Amino acid sequence: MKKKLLVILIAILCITVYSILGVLACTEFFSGSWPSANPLHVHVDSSASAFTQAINPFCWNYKTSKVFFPSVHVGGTTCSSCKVFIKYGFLPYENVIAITQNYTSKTKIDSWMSGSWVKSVISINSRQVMLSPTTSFEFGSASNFLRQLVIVHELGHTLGLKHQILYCPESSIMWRNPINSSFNTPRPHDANTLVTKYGP
Amino acid sequence: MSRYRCLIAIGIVLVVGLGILAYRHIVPTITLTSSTALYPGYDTAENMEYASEVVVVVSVVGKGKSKDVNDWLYTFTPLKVERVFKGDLLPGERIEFAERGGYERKVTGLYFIGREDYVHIKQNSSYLLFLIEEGDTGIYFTTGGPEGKYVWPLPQEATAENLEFTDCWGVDLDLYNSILARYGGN
Repeated sequence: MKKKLLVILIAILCITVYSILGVLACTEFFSGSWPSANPLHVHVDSSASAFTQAINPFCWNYKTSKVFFPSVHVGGTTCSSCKVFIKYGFLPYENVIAITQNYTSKTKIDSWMSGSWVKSVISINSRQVMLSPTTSFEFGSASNFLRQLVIVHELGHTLGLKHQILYCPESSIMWRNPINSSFNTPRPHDANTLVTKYGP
Repeated sequence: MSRYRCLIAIGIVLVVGLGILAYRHIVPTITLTSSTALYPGYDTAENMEYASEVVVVVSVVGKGKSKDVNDWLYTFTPLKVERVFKGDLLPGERIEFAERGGYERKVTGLYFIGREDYVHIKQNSSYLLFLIEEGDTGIYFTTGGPEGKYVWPLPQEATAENLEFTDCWGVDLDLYNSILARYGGN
């Protein structure tokens, strides 16, 4: 009788501890990652098909053997092997150039920073963004150089890279305000970050 | 007797389980989405003011309501305009403020879906906001993402905590000093 009661009490204790740890774990920031980022096939939605020239994930290849973008599929055909999706359209309530969301399951809500990602969606805003009284940015009418810059930056997020913090002495495509950059491909610092995250 | 014990055990497990579920529905589980956005960066207060339709000091006058809009979760919070630096709003006017992220209730509990780079506005607080209106809806959102929202009165010391920024975002000191110089004395 005492043994059974003890077993029940231990079971209750285990459930409680597990629950508390689960809640605490959710309050921490964990950078998730791909179970395998080699290969990561990219699918470009028909809404973004006009910008395929600027969609260059290949510049992220060969930084580490663990990350490889082999192909870009364009248009409405289903791509079952694709894990990265790029679309273009009007984002409501957002004065933003683009947003990347990584998902741990097919449902939108479970896109947590921790966990193992199954897909990534890059949403490019068609909204015009004023940068200063004399300059504005609109992806649809931007140069191919700038479009690629935006896409490569967002693909960095797809791979789990965060914005480069302020006053970082090293140049990076992950600088949070890269529109004035003179480059539109990953820098050595980005490659090093990728190696740190995924291994050589 | 054995059956009685079994029922008690099941009862205890059920009570504990329901308690945990109730707890999860009352205390939100905070999750950060792995979404990150590329915002326009403004190097001066003048540039950000130019890009904004309105620049106002507001007080939060109600609880935000979270809503799904085209598969994006937003929170809409009622604000009262206290001071106007730019735009055609008037002091005392009510507007609605949209922020990405918010609360979502699932069977497993209540979740707060936050953002990597942003701290939502808080109840009983005042803010200096750089805003753009969504069409003519009366719903406004920040001009420069996280950099369009500042605690009011403006803190003299620019720290992430004082300004309600997240650590990972960092504070653009040049921009903040420019904002402090332009609006801090008013």
